[in-house]
Formats: sequence, structure tokens, C-alpha cells
Amino acid sequence: MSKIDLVKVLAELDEDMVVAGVKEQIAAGVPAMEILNQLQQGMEQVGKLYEAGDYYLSELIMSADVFSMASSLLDSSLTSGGETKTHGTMVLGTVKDDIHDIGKNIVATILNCNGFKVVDVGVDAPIEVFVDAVKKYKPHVVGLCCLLTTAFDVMKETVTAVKAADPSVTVLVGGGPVDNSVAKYCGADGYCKNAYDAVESTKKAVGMN
Amino acid sequence: MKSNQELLDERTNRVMKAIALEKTDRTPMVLMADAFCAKHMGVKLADFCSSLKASSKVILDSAKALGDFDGMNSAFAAGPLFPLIFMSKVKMPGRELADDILWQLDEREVMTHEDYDTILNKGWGPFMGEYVTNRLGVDLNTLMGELSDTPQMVKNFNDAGYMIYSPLVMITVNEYLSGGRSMPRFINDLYKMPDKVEAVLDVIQKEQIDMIRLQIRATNSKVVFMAPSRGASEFWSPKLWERFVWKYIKGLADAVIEEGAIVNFHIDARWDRDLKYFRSFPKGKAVFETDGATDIYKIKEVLGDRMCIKGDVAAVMLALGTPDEVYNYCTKLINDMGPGFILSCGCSAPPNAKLENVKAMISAATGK
Repeated sequence: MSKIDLVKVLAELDEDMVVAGVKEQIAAGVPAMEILNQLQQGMEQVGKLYEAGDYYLSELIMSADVFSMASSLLDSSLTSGGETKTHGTMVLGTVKDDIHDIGKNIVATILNCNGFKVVDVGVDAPIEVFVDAVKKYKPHVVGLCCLLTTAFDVMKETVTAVKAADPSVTVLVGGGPVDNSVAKYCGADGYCKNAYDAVESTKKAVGMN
Repeated sequence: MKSNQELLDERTNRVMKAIALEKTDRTPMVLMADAFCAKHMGVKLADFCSSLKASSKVILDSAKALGDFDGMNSAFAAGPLFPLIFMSKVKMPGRELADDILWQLDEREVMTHEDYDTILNKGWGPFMGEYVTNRLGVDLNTLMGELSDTPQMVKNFNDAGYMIYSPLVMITVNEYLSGGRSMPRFINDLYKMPDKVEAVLDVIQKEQIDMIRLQIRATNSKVVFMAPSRGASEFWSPKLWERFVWKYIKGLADAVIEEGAIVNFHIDARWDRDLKYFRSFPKGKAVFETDGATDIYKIKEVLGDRMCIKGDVAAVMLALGTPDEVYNYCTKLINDMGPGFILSCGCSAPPNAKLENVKAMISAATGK
């Protein structure tokens, strides 16, 4: 039995203890997927603290860094065990003519930490890039980001094209100026006000809650 | 019919009375707009950004076409100055972007941990000059030459009867590092090397305060625009916020007020949690300029008896709303906010703001 409670120390953002805990469990022969599962539970705790208003973006970003550092210690073990099981897939990108990526990257990281596969198509992504990704990866969810109000029209066109390619896919929108009125304008299925909102909406889309 | 000088005096007086929380003949309206003006005048953004003077002419033409409102926040476009403000590269229309696409920060980790040591050893000024020139690729001499024309650009607006609300612009010092390091890396630094980051910020803050005092004295500016945009409460735990955001807002703002100027806090994103901190400034010496993300009624409740509120017609409403929606929203704000209120858009009017929506703002303010 591990002496270090990985879920707890990750939720407390104690990087040194998280790394020590992961190494301790690897040495004890704990399967990598089991360790990863504990790290993800820690991230769920972070999410709950964020939703409760006890944690902020600063803690969110730091928790993602700690998670990435810890899970990198498991990389070879996870790879040797075949493809890591995920809860579902999201195709994510910033729409054409908008190059902002900080928010998108945070969303991608937090979704990854919570067990989702993210296909990141980058920034300034043309409509056909999203459509091609939908056809190739068959995601449960497509996430469209923008920081510019001038991107609303292309966001709307992207939603239409994605829905035409796969009517069953859930399309979520988010970004600085985006709100419910923008989601409605674009014909999206929902609006995410932050990264954990994206996690909850994606869970809902894949039938997890 | 009033002369332009009489209009300027009337409008300036109206704005300054609102800042002093005094009653005015009507609610003043000051627009923060640049790219919108280019669209309004049918000028491509690449041409608009070809020089500060070119942008200034277009903004003035747009103001004249819009008619009776009190002034503009700035006399020229902000985009070309972004590298100096955010220590980050900017992609410009006609250069890295197509001719009519809005300028955008291309934020990457350009500033390094070693740069922290350089700033501590050499000071902010020498570091910043080298950094902006060599690593961001900015032609600093040309840009400074353009900025030296600011008094003439401001005079052009004044001659047309419009106030330039805040000719002096500054940013809180944490924004320099947040932009230069990129926000995620900067946050990581705050956890991994907080004492060093604080020491660097202290060096920058001291130089920034010395500089803003000189600039206020040289220009006799009435209002200084301060943008602590990424300092929003929603981004930071209270402990980090007090140490790395508020400390520097407070120090800089105190210096501006000591110099006899008004400090205009340009507040993007949500600050509800920390509004009470702003009560520490003297009554009538500051403006809380909000983009609409912070509940303006909460701002009124907490700060309304201390400082003027400026805002907050959201970019989304200006881009997607109808003139009736904008007019009704503005009218309600004017009635509910009372004295000590300046009607404005939330942050900058977006380039795709509908012209009729901006005109609806003016109608609500003027009653015409």
C-alpha cells in the first residue's frame, strides 16, 4: 500500500509529493493505469474545488502542469500496455482567422487530465480541417474556440459544416466573448464558460452524467 | 451653434464632472474604438495600421461621422503598440495576416528565466529596449518617433471638439511578465520561484512609477489609462492576487493620483470578489472601466460612492444585438447608474459592431 495519497497530494498541488508518490507506486509494481486513475481522481478533486470557488485559473493551470509531469513518468508503461482507454474524443480548435490558443490549450489539457482524448486541430483552423477531423476521428464532441467577435460568422459556418458531416456530434463553443447568445447564433449545442464547464459538457455528451 | 472649442470645453467638463461624481446635464459618452472606425470608414485594417497618424485620421473621421458624443479613449490604434504593452509578438493585418483581419497577439514563451536575472542585474529599461528590438522585432526608434506625434494627434481631435479621454496609457507590471513568459508559464513561475518574480516585478514597478510621474508632468494629462487586464479576480487565488496583482495596481495608481491625475482602471473579465479593494482610493480620483464581465450593478453597490463607473455595452451586444436592444440597455444603465457614470462600450468596440448599434448608444446618451 502506498504511503502517499496521490489523489490528495495532487489536489493540493504538491508537485514533489506527487512525483514521489508516482515513483513509489511504480517501484512497488502498481500497474500504470491504476496510477493514472489516481491522478485523474486528483484532477477531479481540483475540478470540484474550482467549481466550488476555492480554486481559480491559477490553480487549474498549475494542477495541469503537475498532472503532466506525473503522467510523463508513466508514459512508457502506458504505451507498452497498448492504447490508453479514454472516456471519449473531442476535436478541438480555434476557428479560422483567430490565432488565440491559451484558452484552447487549457481546455485541451484539462480534458486530457480528465480522461478524454483531444484531437487539437490548432488555431486559425479552416472549416474543412474540422470537417476532415470529424470524418477521421469520429469524435463525440467538437469544441470551437474564438477570442474575436469577428470570428462569430466563421464559427457559425463551421458549426453548420460539422453538423452536416455528422449530425450526431455535439458541438460546443467557448472563448472570451462567447456566451449563450453566441452559441444560439452559431447553432451550437452548448456554450462552455470555462475548462471545467467543457469537461462537464463533454461528460454529458458521452453519457457519463 | 457652438464652436468646436466650446464643444470641447462642454464635453471635457461633462466628463470630468462625472469622474468627480457630480451631476451632469446629460450622461457623458466616451468611445473606446479603433478597428471599428476603420470598418466604419471603409478603410482596410492594413492601411489603418500603416502608421499611428493614418489610424488617427480614420478614427477622427469616424468620430465626426458619428456626431455628438464626448470623446474617444485614444487618438490612435492600439494594435501596433501591443508588443510594448504585452512584451509579446503581434500579428498585424497586411503583414502576417490578410489585409482586413484584426491584429492579434501571438503569445508564446519568449521571455526566459534567465531574463529575470538580466532584469534584476541591469534594470527594466535596458532589458526592455533590447528585448523588444531583438526578440520581438519591433523598430523601436520608428515607433517612438510616431508616438512623439501624440500631442498633435490629440490636438486634431480637440480642434474638432472631441476630448481624448486618456492620452497616457500604462499597464500593470505583472502584465509584462505574463505576456512575455506567456500566462501559463508565468503562473508556473509564481509557484516555483515566487520570490524571484516578486523581486523582478519590484524592479519594473519602481521604473514604471518614475516614468509615469515624468509623463504626467510633461503632458499634463488629466486621465491615465491603466490596464491590469489579466489581473482579474477570476484568474487568481486571493493569496496570489494580493501579492502579485493588487500590490502593483495599488502602488501605480497611488503614484498617478499623487501626481494629480485620475486613474482609469481598464477592467476586463470578472473582478467581483475584489471590488472592495478599490475603495482604498480617494473619492472622485479613479474610474472603474468595465467590459461587462463584472456585474456593473455590483460595482455600483460596492464602489458607486467612491469612483465613477465607465462601461459596459458588451462587444457581443454591439456585434449581434439590435439597435433597440442596445438603446434600451444603455437607457437602463443611464437611469440606474445615475451621476458618476460614463457610457461606453465594454473594452473596445469590435470591428464588426453594427454602426446602427453604436449610434443607438449615442442616442441613449444624448436623448436625441
